[in-house]
Amino acid sequence: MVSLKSSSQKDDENPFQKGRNIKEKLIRSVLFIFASLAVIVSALIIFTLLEGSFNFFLGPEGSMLEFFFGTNWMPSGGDPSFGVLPLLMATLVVGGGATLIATPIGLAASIYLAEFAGDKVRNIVKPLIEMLAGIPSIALAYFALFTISPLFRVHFGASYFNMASAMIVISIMVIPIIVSISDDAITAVSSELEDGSLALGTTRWETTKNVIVPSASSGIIGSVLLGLARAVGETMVATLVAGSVANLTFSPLEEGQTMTAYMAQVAKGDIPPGAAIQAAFAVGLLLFIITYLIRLGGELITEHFTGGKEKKSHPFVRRAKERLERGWWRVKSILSTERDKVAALKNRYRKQKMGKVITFLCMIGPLLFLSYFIFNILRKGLPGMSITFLTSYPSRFPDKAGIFPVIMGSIYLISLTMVIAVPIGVGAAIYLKEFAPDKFYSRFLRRIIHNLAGVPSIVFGFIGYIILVEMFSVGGNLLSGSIILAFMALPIIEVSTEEALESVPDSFRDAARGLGATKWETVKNNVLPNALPGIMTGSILSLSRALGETAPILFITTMFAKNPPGGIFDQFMAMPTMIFYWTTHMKEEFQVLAATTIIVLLAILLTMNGIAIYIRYRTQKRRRW
Amino acid sequence: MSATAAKREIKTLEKGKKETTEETISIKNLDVYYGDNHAIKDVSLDISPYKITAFIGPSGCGKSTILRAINRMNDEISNCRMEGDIHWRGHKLLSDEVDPVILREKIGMVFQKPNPFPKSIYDNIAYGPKIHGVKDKDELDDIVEKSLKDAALWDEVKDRLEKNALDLSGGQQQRLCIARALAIEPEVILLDEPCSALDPIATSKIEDLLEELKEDYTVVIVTHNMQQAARISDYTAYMYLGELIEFGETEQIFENPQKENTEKYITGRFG
Amino acid sequence: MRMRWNKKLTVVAVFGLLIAGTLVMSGCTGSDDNQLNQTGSSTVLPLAKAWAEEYDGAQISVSGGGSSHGISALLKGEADLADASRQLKPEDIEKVGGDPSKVTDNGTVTGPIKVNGREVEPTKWVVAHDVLTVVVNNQNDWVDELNYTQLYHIFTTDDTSIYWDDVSGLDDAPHKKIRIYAPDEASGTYDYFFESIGGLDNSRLGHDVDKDGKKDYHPSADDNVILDAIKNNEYAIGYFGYAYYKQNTEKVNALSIAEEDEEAVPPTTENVADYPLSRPLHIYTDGVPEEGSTINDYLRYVLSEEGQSIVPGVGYIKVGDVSPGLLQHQLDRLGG
Repeated sequence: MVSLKSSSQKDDENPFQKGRNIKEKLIRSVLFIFASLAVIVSALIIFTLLEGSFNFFLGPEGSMLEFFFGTNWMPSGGDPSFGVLPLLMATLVVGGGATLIATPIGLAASIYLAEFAGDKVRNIVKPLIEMLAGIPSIALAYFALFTISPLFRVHFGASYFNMASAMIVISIMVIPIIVSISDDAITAVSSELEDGSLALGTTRWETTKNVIVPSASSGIIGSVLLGLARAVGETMVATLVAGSVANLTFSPLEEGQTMTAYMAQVAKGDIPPGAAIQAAFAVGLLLFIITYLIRLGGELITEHFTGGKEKKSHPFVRRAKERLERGWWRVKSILSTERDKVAALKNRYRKQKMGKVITFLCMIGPLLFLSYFIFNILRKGLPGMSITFLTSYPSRFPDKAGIFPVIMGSIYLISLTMVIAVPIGVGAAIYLKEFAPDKFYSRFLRRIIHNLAGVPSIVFGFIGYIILVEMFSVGGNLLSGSIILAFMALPIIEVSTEEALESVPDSFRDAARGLGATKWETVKNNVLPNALPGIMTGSILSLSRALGETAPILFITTMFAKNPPGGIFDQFMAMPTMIFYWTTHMKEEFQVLAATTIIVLLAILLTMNGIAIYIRYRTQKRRRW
Repeated sequence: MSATAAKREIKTLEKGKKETTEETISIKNLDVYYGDNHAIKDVSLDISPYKITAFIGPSGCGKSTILRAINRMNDEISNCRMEGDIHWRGHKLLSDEVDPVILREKIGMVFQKPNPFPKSIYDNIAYGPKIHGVKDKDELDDIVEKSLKDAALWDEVKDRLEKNALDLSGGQQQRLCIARALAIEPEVILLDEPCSALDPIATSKIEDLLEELKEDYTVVIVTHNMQQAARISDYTAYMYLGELIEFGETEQIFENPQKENTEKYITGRFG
Repeated sequence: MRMRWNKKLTVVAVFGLLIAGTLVMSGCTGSDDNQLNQTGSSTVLPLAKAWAEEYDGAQISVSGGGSSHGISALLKGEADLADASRQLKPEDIEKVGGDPSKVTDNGTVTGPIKVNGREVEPTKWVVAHDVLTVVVNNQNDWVDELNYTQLYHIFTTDDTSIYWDDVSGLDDAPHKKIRIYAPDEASGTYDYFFESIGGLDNSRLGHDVDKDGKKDYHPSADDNVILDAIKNNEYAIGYFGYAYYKQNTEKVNALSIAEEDEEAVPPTTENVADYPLSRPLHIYTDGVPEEGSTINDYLRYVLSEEGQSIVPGVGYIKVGDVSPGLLQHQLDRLGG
């Protein structure tokens, strides 16, 4: 009562006068700014790419005609040529090939998981497949170079660097994407539809094949396109395994340089300055546009076919098909009479069994790969493990070399990334979920943030380097490295925070608002505490992903220092780039150390993911709403 | 198809009889468990052929579970266990010798929510026959037309058989689902609250349809709507908390219930 | 809501500690006097890493990125030391907006240059020599020395030799195709090699020449691949850095090289002053570092006997072995 009086002394006649809550407004604007940062970053990325590309095309050596139609990519030398087709071709062979391999396997695995596997199998297999998705690409690249590639060289006469082994390993990265999204899509098909089909006397396999998969087709196509975007944007495997010579060839057994690999070559400094580096902008822009279009296509297909509407085939095709069916089936139906029903059923069960076996194998395949990968890395890397290795610096003598400053560099880098990314990501999510009116701008903001997630990591690294180091002279240090990683981690943090906020029932909000709490008070006291576990899980997962990223910091990390960095403006080394340098080292002993570093990196990632999974498990068990 | 015609003929002949033991679905001491939940408790009753038998009772009383036991749809629920037996045509339906896939061909089912497949109207109907081995296009055309006519939907959709089934109204979708069930020429049709998602006009159309269907099929319907049960069924079973409280001719159940519990329910004194 | 208070506290505390830790770390901004940033040529990189490892007077962060990157970082004040496998060029100055006319022929400047409002005077220090080695298979018994003309015919498409016995002066060699395994055009070694043997721009082997596939040419970015191929192929020839050859002397044969009309010289540490395919490696600094400064101390270490003793181990050649006078002159400039 007292407080009410004193606060409304001047306006006694209207006790409901709208109060001016400055704090509330301030918080709202800060959250708004956080949410809008993604727009600024996206605009900077696009602007920088465009500007660089313009400079290249308008420069003396660049020509749009040559870029798009030239068949030669030779950026250095006396008479450079910049025809992007060889790069595009390698990208197509490696990325498209990987997706072609991954699609049937991933789809089959998700069918087995969703339709045939029991809860027990699901609970074991799903986390394992997530684990497969969490392996840093540099670790898989190492495996590809020293284990897969020799197979192709020995048995198929492939060249030392070949696109085939890159294809195989990238398909392993794409499979988890296809499995998890397709599995969601398949399990989302209503059980009524499934019951409807089973009640007509169909086997589970027939139901799956004829009703469930077609109904989930939009989600499945979406997953394939997302996987394709991932495959096209993959850098480290392409760089280390596919090669660095632009080759206009379809043959996966040959060497080829993808667009990402060219940009990585620029990052390593293997490219002379001038037009060759300017060309990286044009390549980056093209890569950006291609991955954007693939993702956009995925979204459009998902939207267009929601409700599972079937695509109508051309009347001509239809008629032809019908005629064919009629002729063929007449013969068949003469052969099969009512008495053959039992035999027919046997046949149908045989088909179901075959389907089950095949999909099961497709599910097990990637897991076998995972275990062989881990076994292989342990076998190669464990001999290098020692106290010295964990406590000393990366000496040029393999037996003295260690990764202490490297580990510390990675830990500092990721901590700083967290300090930047978590407040911004969580703030943006709070703004979008709790404060933003569902207007054009907030939908636009959300879309921009999601799009940021699709920018290939090498483009992030390149543009981050250009903006932070070249334009703003922040320097190649911890700060610029973590800013780049932060904006890569941002979308995942934002999405998972929004999901966590979404899971808090509205009744909690209504109850608090009904008691007269302001919006921010409600969010702070009633929503955030309940969403916290979800936010933490998402943040840890996204940071662990950032920790394993190589391409974005390839431009920035140092290759040698005796001590860990002492401040945010210090140069640093990081585990993924160290693995990269040691993998390419001429001495075999250092290749062992690369494997040892992979073990350390995987151990750290496993710990982080373990914490995240534990938090998720705990809250799921305790949640009572 | 001549075989079908012959079958129909037999059915017509049999129609006068009150009890046909072979054709009666007799449920004997049926217990159904979902994990620890004892959903059906020792239920026994005979479902007469070529009649409409209605199951009524408050939510969760187990009426749908009984239905799903008859065509073994409960097999699809991983933690479901069934005891007792259901006899039909000299077979023990719950035994391992009976293949649920064949069984469901004979005992069709229509669900609470219309669940047409996201395909064309034609393909929805043709789906079952195709799987069961009918490949001839002309024969399929016949089946589709006949089923849609039987389900009183033909006139409304005959010009747009290639249209997506999801474009139909709710009532039409449900009749489509009935037509889909008819297309595999079952002998029994189970309907699980087929009208609960429909408006009154659509409901009355379905009810008219059921009246016609019982000429050729044994119809079992689960319904929430007592008036519906009173209007269309020949026999009514009242269930409560997994137990069969009362079963008899519909007239008797509604006008002269023997049990107090039944009376309370049908007069709306609890629910 | 179900989370107990102390759990919540733990969560907040963990996050808080991490944040606080990072902030404290950022408190001591890294403008340590004892810290040097060194960046540039990937040819110099292994050497720079070795010095950084052995030198205790300062904490030195070494990174690669190429000679141009290094020089540009020095000019912009982002690096203290720039590694370069070539000399400063007028284009380097032009790129950062300075006056290119001040660059002299021997890769230094006549006076300070203004870059972004601050003055910088790139100063060259020769710290070691890089030597290219031309290698053939161990079973190759028909050639143990080649001159520039012969190299030119083997490695360019201008009046090219397809078979070993096509090469002038090698008439007794087998009539077998010459199989070339060499660094690809992206590598600095490729540029340096063709610059030396005088290959014309439009005839040297690369992807835009030899379209008809007359030459048996296999470029690669990986020295391992080149070595492996030459080791396994009797009719192969190729080249790479002496540093790499030094580690694999028993696997392939190194050839003696002769400039026009001169005596052929085998690539050995002792012969480097006379061996044609050798180039100096540089570190650039901003002006001559003051005596007593960290950079001065470091450069003096690099040029000292101790610092130079590391060079052969990495695979390069000491400055003193090529030109003792230059070594002394540089030490004198540093005030030694």
